[in-house]
Amino acid sequence: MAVALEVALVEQLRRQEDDAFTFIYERHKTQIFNYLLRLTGSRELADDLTHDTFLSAYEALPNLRPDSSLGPWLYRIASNRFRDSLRRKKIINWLPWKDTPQEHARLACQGGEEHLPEREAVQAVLDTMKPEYALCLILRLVEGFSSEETAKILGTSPEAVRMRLSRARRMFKDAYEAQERCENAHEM
Amino acid sequence: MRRKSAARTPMKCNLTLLSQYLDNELDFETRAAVDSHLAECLPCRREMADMKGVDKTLVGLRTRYEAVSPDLDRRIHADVVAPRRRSRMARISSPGVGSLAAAVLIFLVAGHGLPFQPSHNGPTTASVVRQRVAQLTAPLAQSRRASAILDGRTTPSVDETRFHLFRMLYE
Repeated sequence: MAVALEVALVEQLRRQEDDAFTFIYERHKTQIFNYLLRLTGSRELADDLTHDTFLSAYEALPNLRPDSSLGPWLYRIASNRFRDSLRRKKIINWLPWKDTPQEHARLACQGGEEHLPEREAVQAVLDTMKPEYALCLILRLVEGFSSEETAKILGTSPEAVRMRLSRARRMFKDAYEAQERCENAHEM
Repeated sequence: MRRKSAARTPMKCNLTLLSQYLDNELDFETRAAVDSHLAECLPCRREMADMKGVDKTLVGLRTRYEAVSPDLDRRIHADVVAPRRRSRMARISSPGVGSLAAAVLIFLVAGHGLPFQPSHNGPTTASVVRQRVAQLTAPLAQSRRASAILDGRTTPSVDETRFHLFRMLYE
């Protein structure tokens, strides 16, 4: 988006104009919803957290800084809503794969039959990781933010993001392999 | 390990540096040091291959987006957009404004017909919309102004912003 246009949009948002909010919601809702879906693994939770994210965004609009970048700002709110929900212990225990077969099977199916096993495995592995590492991995590798942007979203330093990302890659690989071993043992 | 001395002294295995190498976040000197280290260190080469595998798996998720449910759209509209519009309407519909609006409407209907009424002589709805779009696009048709907006040298007007928003949403 052109910088000047984004600045004008932020200005309209700060005045809480309906057009600007509707535009922001229409433009970012799919990204934010899918980000939260990958973090929670549950469509219902992702729905609720997306709703909370945009509600919080609307309430925070008057305090939005003129130089703010809208995408990272919304991701920051979404990440905070996700952490809040963990703190409230509503989803403190990420549901293991086998506890929610219908939901995960449905999620996997929507990605296309040919990707079913891989997608199932990826979601299951993300579910087992510590939230801060999963957040870092998804923001950097799936959502495509830089280390600096990720740091702003997570409220930490770029160095911390780099360190966390390197560990998260290893954790993901180990968890993925552990799951494969588990499945192979189960099939035997 | 300190980056500045990386090229001069043998590098130790460093997971964060390997990760930064993969992300193209290293300066030339440090990158060369990592290259040298990788040529000699089998565990780090394996680590790098594993990291690339993780990235490939996760980057694959980028193309898989699920649509937001219509229920979420309805909830957002009910909780954010509708209350805002209601409060705005409440402000507008004070007694004086209401009677003035009624008088204008009676004047238009009685004396001139509805402003967007299709007619062979008067303007049609489509022509009014076309005229409005032309008004909105006119400033952008001037390339100097358009490039000034895109370069950030000037701020677009409210109409220009709206025009951009609709183009970006629906084109």
